[in-house]
Amino acid sequence: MMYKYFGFFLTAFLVIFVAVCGWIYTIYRQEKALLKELKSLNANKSELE
Amino acid sequence: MVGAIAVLWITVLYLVLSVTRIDPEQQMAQKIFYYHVPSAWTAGVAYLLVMIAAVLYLMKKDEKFDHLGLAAAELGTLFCALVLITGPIWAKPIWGAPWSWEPRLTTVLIMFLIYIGYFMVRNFGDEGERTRRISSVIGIAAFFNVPIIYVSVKFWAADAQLHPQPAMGQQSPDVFWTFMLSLLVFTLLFVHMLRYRVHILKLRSKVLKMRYDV
Amino acid sequence: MLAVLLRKDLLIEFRSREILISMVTFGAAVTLLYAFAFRPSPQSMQTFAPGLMWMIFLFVSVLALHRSHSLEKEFDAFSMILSAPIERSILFVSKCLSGFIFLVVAQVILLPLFFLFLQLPLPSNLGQMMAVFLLVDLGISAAGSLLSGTVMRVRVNEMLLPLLLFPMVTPLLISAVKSTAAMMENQPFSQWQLWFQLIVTFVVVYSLVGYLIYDYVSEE
Repeated sequence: MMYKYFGFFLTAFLVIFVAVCGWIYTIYRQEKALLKELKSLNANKSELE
Repeated sequence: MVGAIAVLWITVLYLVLSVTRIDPEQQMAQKIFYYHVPSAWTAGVAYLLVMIAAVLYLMKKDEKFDHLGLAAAELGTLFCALVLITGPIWAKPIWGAPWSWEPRLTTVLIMFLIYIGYFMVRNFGDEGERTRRISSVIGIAAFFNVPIIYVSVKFWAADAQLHPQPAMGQQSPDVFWTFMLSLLVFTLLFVHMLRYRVHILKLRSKVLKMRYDV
Repeated sequence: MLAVLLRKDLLIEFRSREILISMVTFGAAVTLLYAFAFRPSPQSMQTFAPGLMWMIFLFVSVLALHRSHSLEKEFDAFSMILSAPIERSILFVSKCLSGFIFLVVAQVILLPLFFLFLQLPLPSNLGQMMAVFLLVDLGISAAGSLLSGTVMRVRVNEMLLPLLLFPMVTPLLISAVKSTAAMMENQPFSQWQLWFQLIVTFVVVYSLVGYLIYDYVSEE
């Protein structure tokens, strides 16, 4: 597999892979934070009621 | 769904590395094309979706269209950035220089900048209905640049076009089918990421409403 | 109705001449800067002149567009106009036309200065050049008025207008520069006809889009 310019191909591939996975991971983190807040808001609400 | 995408992704990688033929001049660097072009395609689809969502939002005023528009804009910009990054990575060994001011590269960069403007508008507005309305207008106006850009690429002097223009129908089967599969993978990936993002945006909207109600 | 709105915009400007003075001063200052900052030979100045020229006009039009819409914000004049029983799209047409007129007047003053200071030869077919310039002005004004009206209510609108306008107007700009360069070299129309067609397409598309969408822009 060691043909010419393999490094460039690998770089391009990794860039895409990291970008997509990074994006999904960022959204996942946001989801966790939002769910946490939702839970605490719900808990607050039931306390008030 | 995620599993299917992962499997297809690995299949494409395998195909690209082993099955498809090696271009005598460009060798491995040519294979970037299996990722670069589908990214461009995905970005185009995403931007089209932004415009459709924007029109629907202005007509129906339903928040979910705005979520769709924002998610599509984010993904479109992500894939457009990938096109603008993988392009120079390919160009460095092939052309010698990573960038050149030739028509297709210039116009993709312009597209990218227009949508950066879209996000700036979103950022500087508040969370209200007006910002959404304004972003929808921007989304629609931005998309009308795409056909103009497409036409201008055709008009530009043919000798100024350094960007390779492969005729897809004439490629050999191993190239053609790998490319198609890669296109499919990117499209599925896009749909999956879009749905996930829209779901998060809905969640966020709900949380914000609750936060300010309390 | 359109006449009334247009008359209002032009009258305001005629009384104070704010916009025009700032446009012409800025344009003349930049032209002088070009003359001093680059000391190229006449040949290279000719190569760069079309691009420099259109850059000045673009910057100068941003001034006009921004000012023209921000005038409406004072005393909440915009809401008062909106409460009149007219089609909102007419507002777009009036803004677009008044912007166009300001740009043309500024160009009439700035172009001779530009040719003079940078020692450029005049193209043989002046009428043709004027026609193309008018079209490009209309294009800049159409796209600019749409965007300006849209971002006027956002916070940092002075920065946002150029940020949005420049990428969107770039195809028009490129066509204008290529056409101007061809005209200054006295090339026959068939050579740069395609760029001219692109200018016309841009003008038509953005005028239509602006006309149709301005309604949604101006809601409260």
